[in-house]
Amino acid sequence: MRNPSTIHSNPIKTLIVLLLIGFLLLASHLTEKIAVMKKFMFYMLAPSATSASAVVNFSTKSFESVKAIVAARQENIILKELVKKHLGSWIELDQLRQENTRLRELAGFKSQLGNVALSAQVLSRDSDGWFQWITVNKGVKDGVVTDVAVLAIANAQPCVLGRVYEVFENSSKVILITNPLFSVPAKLKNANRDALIEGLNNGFLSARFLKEESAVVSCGDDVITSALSSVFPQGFKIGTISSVQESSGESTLVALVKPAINLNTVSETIILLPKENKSKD
Amino acid sequence: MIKIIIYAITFFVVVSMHLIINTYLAPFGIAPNIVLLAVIFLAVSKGPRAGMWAGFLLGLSLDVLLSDMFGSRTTALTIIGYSAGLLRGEWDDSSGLNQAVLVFLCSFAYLTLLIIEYAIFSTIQASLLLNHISLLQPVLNALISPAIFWLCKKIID
Repeated sequence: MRNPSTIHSNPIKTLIVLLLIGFLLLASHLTEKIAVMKKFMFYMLAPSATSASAVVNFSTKSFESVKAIVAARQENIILKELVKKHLGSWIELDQLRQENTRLRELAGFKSQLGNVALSAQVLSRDSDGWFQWITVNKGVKDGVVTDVAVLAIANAQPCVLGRVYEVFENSSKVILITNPLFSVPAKLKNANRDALIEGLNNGFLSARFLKEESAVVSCGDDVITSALSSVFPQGFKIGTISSVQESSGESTLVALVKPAINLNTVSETIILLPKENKSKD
Repeated sequence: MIKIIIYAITFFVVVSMHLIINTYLAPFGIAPNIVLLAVIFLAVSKGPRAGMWAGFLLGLSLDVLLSDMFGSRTTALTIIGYSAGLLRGEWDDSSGLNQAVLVFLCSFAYLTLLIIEYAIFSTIQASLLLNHISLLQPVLNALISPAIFWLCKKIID
């Protein structure tokens, strides 16, 4: 028979030790040694994130394959009818036209970027940090480095999503534009007014403008990246002003900005690499 | 040895489930915190020791994978795991309502602990942690907890 006091005292000692470790990690603010330890643990845990993504991708692909088979059968019946009516050439022409449009868009987009664009998929995300972080499936092996711009497509144009914060072998952690730790110099698209964009962790951003008599900031104005940014090329859309807070006492004017990208549905991203960091694949 | 392998597999399954649900099945970011539910279940069914170890290890994995403040989830989940474990044998764990109330209180405590940690250790304004996701998550966790507990019990049995 074990002594009940030993049974109850041991968990408390262990609890104190575990909490001390936790507080030590909190207080250390990722010193070099802790960062190395964290990186090592990430490699141990990476299979769970990768396998989670693989399971979902496999299920999605299987479902899409079934859908494709059903659709192909239906399409087959229709096409047979069309062939009967000698319309094969018309279908070919239509497909070529669509492909041509798609390739034109792609070519136009790449020349607009001017950097090496690397497409990456969202690997994992947590509701605790929904507006703060995402992990994408490209890392050191693909030439990704820290502090490079991450974009996503909204309304057929590339818009600011965040920047690479931490890079691992096969994945990277991206700090989202809505993270309170994120800030980027910006300006109004139609007026030369500089602003500083900061995340609010709620799907919106705050834009701080210096108060000026001459120019007016109004709802619906587009906010784009400015030339002052060392991470983002100039001219990428960040969002749209949704409200302006007037305060007489302060020297700055604060506006609420709705990001151009729907952060709830983002799954594909574009990492802008400097030209010398071209992907190895 | 077999026990360790089972624990390791359970650990990876819980983390993977959490990532799948939070990444792919979270409309507007609203998703249950599977890791927190697993810690509470382990704590109330196996006691404070299992609860705090599960909280520590699962919290550490969340910190490594997705957190900006290393150690925040580790500490919060360790405390939650230990506290919930103290209830083992002291309450009617078969009642769905009891499970929901416990999970709601633990989720709320978890959020409070995170806010306190951010207020002390982070440069981020702690109040920014409060948004529609963090406020709805305790309710969602509580609502699905009877089903999760029932499922976990079946697996353990």
